[in-house]
Amino acid sequence: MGECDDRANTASGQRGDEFAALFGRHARQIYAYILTLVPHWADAEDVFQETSSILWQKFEEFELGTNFRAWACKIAYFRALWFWQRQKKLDVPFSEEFFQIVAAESLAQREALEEQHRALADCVQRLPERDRSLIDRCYVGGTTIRQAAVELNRTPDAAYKSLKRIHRELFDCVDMILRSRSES
Amino acid sequence: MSLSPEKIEQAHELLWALRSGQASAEQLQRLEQMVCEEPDVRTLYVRYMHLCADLFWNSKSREAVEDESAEETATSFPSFFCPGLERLSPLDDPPQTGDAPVVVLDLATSVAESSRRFSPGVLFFSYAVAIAVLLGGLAAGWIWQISPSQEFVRDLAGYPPRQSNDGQRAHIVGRVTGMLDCEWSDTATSASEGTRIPLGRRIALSSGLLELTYESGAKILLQGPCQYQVDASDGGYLARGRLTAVVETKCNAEGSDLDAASDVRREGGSFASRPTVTQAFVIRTPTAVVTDLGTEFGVEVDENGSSRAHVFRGRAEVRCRDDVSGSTRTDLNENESVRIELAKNSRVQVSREPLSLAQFTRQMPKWRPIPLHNTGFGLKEGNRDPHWQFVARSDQPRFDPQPAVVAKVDSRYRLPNDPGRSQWISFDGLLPNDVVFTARTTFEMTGLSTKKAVLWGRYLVDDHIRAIRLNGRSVEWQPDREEGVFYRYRVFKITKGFVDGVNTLELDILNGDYSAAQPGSQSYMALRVELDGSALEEWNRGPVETTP
Repeated sequence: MGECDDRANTASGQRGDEFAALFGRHARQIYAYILTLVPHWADAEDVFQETSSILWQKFEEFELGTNFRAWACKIAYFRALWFWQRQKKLDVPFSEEFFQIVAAESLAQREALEEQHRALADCVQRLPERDRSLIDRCYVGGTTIRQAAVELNRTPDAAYKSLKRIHRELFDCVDMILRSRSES
Repeated sequence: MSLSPEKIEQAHELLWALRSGQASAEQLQRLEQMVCEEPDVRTLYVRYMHLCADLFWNSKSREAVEDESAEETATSFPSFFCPGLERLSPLDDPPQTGDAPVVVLDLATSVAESSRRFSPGVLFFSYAVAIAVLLGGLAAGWIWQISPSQEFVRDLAGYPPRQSNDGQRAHIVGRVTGMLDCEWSDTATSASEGTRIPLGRRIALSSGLLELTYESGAKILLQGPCQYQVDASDGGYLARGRLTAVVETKCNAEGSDLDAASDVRREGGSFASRPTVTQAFVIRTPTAVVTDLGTEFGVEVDENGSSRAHVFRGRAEVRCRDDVSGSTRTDLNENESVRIELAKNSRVQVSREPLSLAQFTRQMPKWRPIPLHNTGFGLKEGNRDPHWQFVARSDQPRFDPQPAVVAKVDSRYRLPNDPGRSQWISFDGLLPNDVVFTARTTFEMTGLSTKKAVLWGRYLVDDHIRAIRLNGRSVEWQPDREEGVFYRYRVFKITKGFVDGVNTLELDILNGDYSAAQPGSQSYMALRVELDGSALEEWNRGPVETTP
């Protein structure tokens, strides 16, 4: 192996490190951004997969020092649109105008959303143990509501209603924290 | 936020409906309208969706810290998602049998798991570390001339795939690609077109047709009532009912490969645990195993578990379910059938017998034109129209039906007769006013669905249509109010009331000008009708008859 090869490998290794650092830092935000455009979990999963792959493939084009998140979200946006273009018209829940508006709003709210993310952790901690278990079962355990309900000795209907209530409580809690912070 | 409390409540209702996958079309429309028109709802939408996404990451962090008992070398990544939120049904039940779980060594997860004892925040850092480690590996891969595949990059990115409930990754084996009139005997197994089908998924139809396309390209068409489970990536278990399978693979032309695949299966190993042998498609039933060696076959199972198989095209191999030695193997060629049933002594009995092919629906029904007849089509003036006749008139209860005749165009009609499209018909010259004449045509619906049919009609009439009936039942339509306008088409549409076999369409024509008609006066009566319609091909809706 020649010196040139060594240099090339070292360079590509560095590039990989850079990508890893940036992607690791922004993966959550990219996923959340995609979820606003593709509201169904399974579909958002597909788009996130594809976006991750494209980000790496195109990383050579990314200029270090510029905004990785904005660059990634741009790619995610087009990937999401492409996803909807592949769907049957009847299966597309919203218009393109809707997606444009929501995408712009996501970017405009990015700082507030970061604050929300931090506040959410506090709010989840404030949940009663029973509610936290339900959320954890559902979001982490990979179980269906029905199964989570059985495991927690609740009816599916009760679990479903509880999840709805918990989401609302968390939203209100986050709202309250953000307001109190902005007032103080 | 300047939204009223009611608006906020409404927005939350809609957002939850969206998140839980329960939103109706109207709710989606309402949500879109609110988001587009009201900036505060827009913000609320974005914040809500981010909250849902963040919940995962937060929960994931806690799990990483709390779950000390997890193995250090993870072979699967905990779910990124909350499948239950949008799937209340057990359709996403874990695989119970069939393919070996897809095990992917996810190094990113390993790093994440090993870092769990530090702090939640470490998890995200761990993704970065994992990615860095793997990118190092990727660079090494280049040294060894390994090009990075998308799959690798995906894993490298720490992307957590969806998983099934037993902790293994959900293995998507196909999609629902067509549905028609599906009713579910177990609503927990309901699906919609486009639904991704994981390994282990059950489908229980009480009626209707469901087309499932496997990732391999194989298609099955399930005919309700039936119970089916996708227990392998290259086949499934038909507990009851009827299906047809079309297996179009690139190896279809290579018989030797398929024979080899078949031989592997006969060795007694798990069908699904041999992922390299994916070309042959296998349908298992309570009594039989039908292996595709060609392109198209049908299988049906009755309530006793007795099975029948028929090959439409190509070849198939049929064995008794528990036959490891292969002694009961029966090779079926095109248009051959076999029946495997449990005899009284609990032994399986194999017999070749003809099968009623009409029982099988081989493809999703298509819309077909209904054979309809425009008045005077292809005829000359004065000719009898074989497809139309006048069957009644209100002033003569014992009126003998008269053949319709292509009438000469009255100057008032403006539109000339068009033999290539439609012409005016009547049955006599001047006819008494204030009398209702009934014109009739018939058409054949055999082989077409009477429930999925539509008929469009438009007419010109001298003077007025008083009623339209299909098979004796009145059709709703917008009657004309104008007098003396004989050149403006009126339309009607029929979507129900069709019957199997011969259908009868009747139009009641009132002769005479309402305002000007004098008692005993006469005038011309004529009708011109154009019809167009289509219906889905009919399919066998009946259950599999139980073996006596």
